[in-house]
Amino acid sequence: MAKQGCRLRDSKLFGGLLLGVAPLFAQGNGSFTEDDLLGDIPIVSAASRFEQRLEQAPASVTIIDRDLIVMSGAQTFVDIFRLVPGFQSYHVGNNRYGISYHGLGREFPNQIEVMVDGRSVYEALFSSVNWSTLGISLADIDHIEVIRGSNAAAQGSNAFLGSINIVTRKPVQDDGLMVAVTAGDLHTRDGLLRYSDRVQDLDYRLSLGYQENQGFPAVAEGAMDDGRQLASGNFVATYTPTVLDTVEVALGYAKDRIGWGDADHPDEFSLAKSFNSFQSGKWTRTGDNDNVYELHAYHNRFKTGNFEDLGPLYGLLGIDADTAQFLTGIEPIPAEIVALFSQMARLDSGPALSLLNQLNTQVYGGFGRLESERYDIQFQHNFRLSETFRGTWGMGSRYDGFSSHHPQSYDMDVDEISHRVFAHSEWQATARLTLNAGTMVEDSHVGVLVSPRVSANYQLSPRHSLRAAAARGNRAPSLLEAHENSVSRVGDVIFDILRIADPALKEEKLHSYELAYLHQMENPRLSLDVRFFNEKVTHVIDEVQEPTTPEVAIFGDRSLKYIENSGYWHFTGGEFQLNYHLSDATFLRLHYTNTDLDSKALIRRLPDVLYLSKDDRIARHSSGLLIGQRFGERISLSLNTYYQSGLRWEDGDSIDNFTRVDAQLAYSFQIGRSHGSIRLVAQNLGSDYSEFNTNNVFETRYFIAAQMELPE
Amino acid sequence: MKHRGRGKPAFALLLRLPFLVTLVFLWSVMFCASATAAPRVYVVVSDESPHYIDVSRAVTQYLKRHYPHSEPSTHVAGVEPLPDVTGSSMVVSIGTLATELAVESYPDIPQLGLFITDIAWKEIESRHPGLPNKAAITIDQPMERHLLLARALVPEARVFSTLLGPASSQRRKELLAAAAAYNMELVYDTVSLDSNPLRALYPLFEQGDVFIAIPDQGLLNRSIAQWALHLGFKKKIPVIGFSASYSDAGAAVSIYSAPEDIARQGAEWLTGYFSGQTADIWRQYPPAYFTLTVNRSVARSLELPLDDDEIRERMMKLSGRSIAE
Repeated sequence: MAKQGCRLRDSKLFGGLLLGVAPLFAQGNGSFTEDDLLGDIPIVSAASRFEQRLEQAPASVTIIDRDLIVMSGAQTFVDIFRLVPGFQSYHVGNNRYGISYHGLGREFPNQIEVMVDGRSVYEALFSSVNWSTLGISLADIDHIEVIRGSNAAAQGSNAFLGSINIVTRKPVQDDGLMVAVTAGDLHTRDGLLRYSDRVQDLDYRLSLGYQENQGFPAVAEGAMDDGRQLASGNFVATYTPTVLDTVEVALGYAKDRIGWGDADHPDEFSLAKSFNSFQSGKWTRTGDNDNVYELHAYHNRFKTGNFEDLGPLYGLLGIDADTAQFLTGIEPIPAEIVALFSQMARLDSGPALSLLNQLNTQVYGGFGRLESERYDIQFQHNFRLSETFRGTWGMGSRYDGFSSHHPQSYDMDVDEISHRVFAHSEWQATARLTLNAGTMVEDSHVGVLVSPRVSANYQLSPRHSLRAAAARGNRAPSLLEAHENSVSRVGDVIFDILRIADPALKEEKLHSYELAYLHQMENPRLSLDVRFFNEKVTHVIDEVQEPTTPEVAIFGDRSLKYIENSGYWHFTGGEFQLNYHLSDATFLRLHYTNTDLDSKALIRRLPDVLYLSKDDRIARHSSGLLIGQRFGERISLSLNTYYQSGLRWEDGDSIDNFTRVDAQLAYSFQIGRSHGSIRLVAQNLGSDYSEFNTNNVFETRYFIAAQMELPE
Repeated sequence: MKHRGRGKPAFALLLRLPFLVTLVFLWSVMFCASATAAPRVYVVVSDESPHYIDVSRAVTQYLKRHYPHSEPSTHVAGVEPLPDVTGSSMVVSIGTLATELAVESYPDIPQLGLFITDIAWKEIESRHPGLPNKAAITIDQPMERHLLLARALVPEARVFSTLLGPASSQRRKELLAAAAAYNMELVYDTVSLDSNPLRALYPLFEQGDVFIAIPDQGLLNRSIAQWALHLGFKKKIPVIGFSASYSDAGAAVSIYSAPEDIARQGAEWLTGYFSGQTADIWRQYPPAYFTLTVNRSVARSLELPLDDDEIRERMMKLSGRSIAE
């Protein structure tokens, strides 16, 4: 609700008079004043955990609504987040996405919180988000709230550099059956069936989706076997027992078969099977005086398996079958053979004998069988203490469990219970000045983490506002980061060690400052959001390589990677987004980001200390231009351009700058009460470019998408 | 898109000729200003919210320009002690809090209350019965105006629906009388805070061709707005809202009296008062002017008129016919 001003001064007269009129303003007594008439419809809730106008929010917010998603011709989450300034959104594989804000472009970006209807989908298993198995389709999305900048104060440790809340459509918004199909290049075959109805007082929606494609095209080294077959479903129900109460339930699953591997080695792609399920229940009660109580509990479960048959161990050691037969053919193995093998493998006789005994063992690569599970419960209370002061507080507890099993790699079972409390407030100090303050306190496995944020929003005029904000964030290492002990062994012989977590691993720390400007105009409808940022991350969790002794690394990489708090990043720059409705028929969206990274990474300590700059691991420039034009009531055309300057992806390759141009022609029609649409989508109309890895070649892609809504 | 117009048929000509209105208005204002000496005016606002400040600014600018002797000064209720006001002065209170405080503080001073609801004004009157020289311009739109807009928006509509709460139920008779006067079929239901809102709303959206949101307590408004807009989208039925934010959130069109509408009417009332009119001026006035806000995206998807001028024209024609009938 837009309340402005009202500085409270010490006045006996004022106090006495207020007491006299108080009954009229207690909404609970049934009075009806101009405040009731002028009450706002909420705009943003993710930044402070309560509904705020954009110009009063403590952080920069991008709203991607359904119209924008459709207009952009987006086929994946990568396409969607290229609409947001400051985001690095990329294909690690054709069906594996990396989405980060101001972080380095890693295979598993881990510094942004992603939620679906307030349910965290940040996966402890990967220390990241597995976008493939969210269990929702793009058509289920109503809008996405993106917080550009640290939101740890509101959403906790994982929202270190930003947060995303995907808000799905409520069942009451749809009616009857909806069928959508998409077909196109890469042998893409996508389908969605959605049915919405009401039984008694329960509104529900059931969605079943299927996606299939064959992945990136083949390269000189061979076929890029990174296709997918994904089946997903979700059930969402809403019940409103009273005007004040809403109960929402959501269940879902996703079953994915995907080609998993490193694009540098197309021949090593192997099948990974994943299964994700979730159950969520939320009760919201609205009271008078802007009191809102919310209780949210959910459960996520994820499991995945990936085993790559590497053949017998002797093959990996470069020994042919005959030699292996010679070495192991006599039981027990003679001392002479042990001595010979010891010399060959440069091992002591004990380990050499152990290894000889395992020479015929079948060896598997891949990440093995991984499972994670999360239970989370949270209570939140929004309140208003006065016309100018309101806020929220809450508390929550979370259980995270993680297990890993592999015949030759490490077995691990770890879990953690963490607790959190948070509070946020908004004070309209004057008619023009709004102050926000909030903090999150988390009791995590690395201790108590406090992430505060303060902001001052100053309204220059009804259309122009400024914001200055400062935040401190802490990101606790994920369960995987804190406990990883990737030791590969055959029998009792360790033959490789990939990564070991530093037992003293601590949280990453962020100091963030921003200046922002927001301009909103009604006629013509235009909004401009500019943000200048200065974000310093210390104690960055990164890998430090140390040489290993020959006894440990028999083959493969002879360096050992320690997971330590060893990095330093300093991001400075600016970004803007402009939404401009030139007319009823013409829409334009433009965004640009300039990011300068000053970084330092400890690469190794031995034999000499080596630091490396990773300044080139982030795109210096990125921008997007989307133009939508409607021709009459039925036909629309949109052109979506995205530019990214060259960079060296952290876990990928050096990729040159590229400009991608997408186009979409859409035709909508009505048959009786049924509404339908057909869209022709062309992605990357220009020359080919690579995503993340030079072998991930993005050619021109064409899709045709049809959708039909059949209301009851 | 917004448009302000006068809803009553008698003012139809004025709406068509805003330039003429302005000329006549300014001429009359100048004439009256020169003919009379205005009392000192104290403007009291409930707080510094933009809508109060907008009304206050418009009123004080008008007074300074045309009645400089009135020496208008603005005071924020609740922030500072109210000033001492002498018997020959005049108080313009803006908002319910300001109006209540002014009535309590200056029982004998002439007072015009602006930007206040019908219910709030009646409650103040009931707590302070018999006070002389008190007038108010309320912001609740006459029910007739809501119905007129609904019919203008969807001429082929036959059934209009609405949901009433504890506050708006008090205007049920007015609503039914307006529906009868315009020969409209109206379906409605009544809810309290304990009612299931969707259970009440579903039948209204199944039976009605247009849904009219009638303002009630804020708590009810927010919940009903959320569900009504979702159902309106689902059933492809236009929702008529009562505030700009209602349209922003998805109502096809909203009708309300904006600060400038109230300020304009207030200025007219002050002109009459300063020119010596005394007969029957100390009473409550419904809002004479109103604003239409069209959500063009929603209107387009429902194939409704996008132009607020066109809707206004339709309203005037319908209004004229109804009276003729």
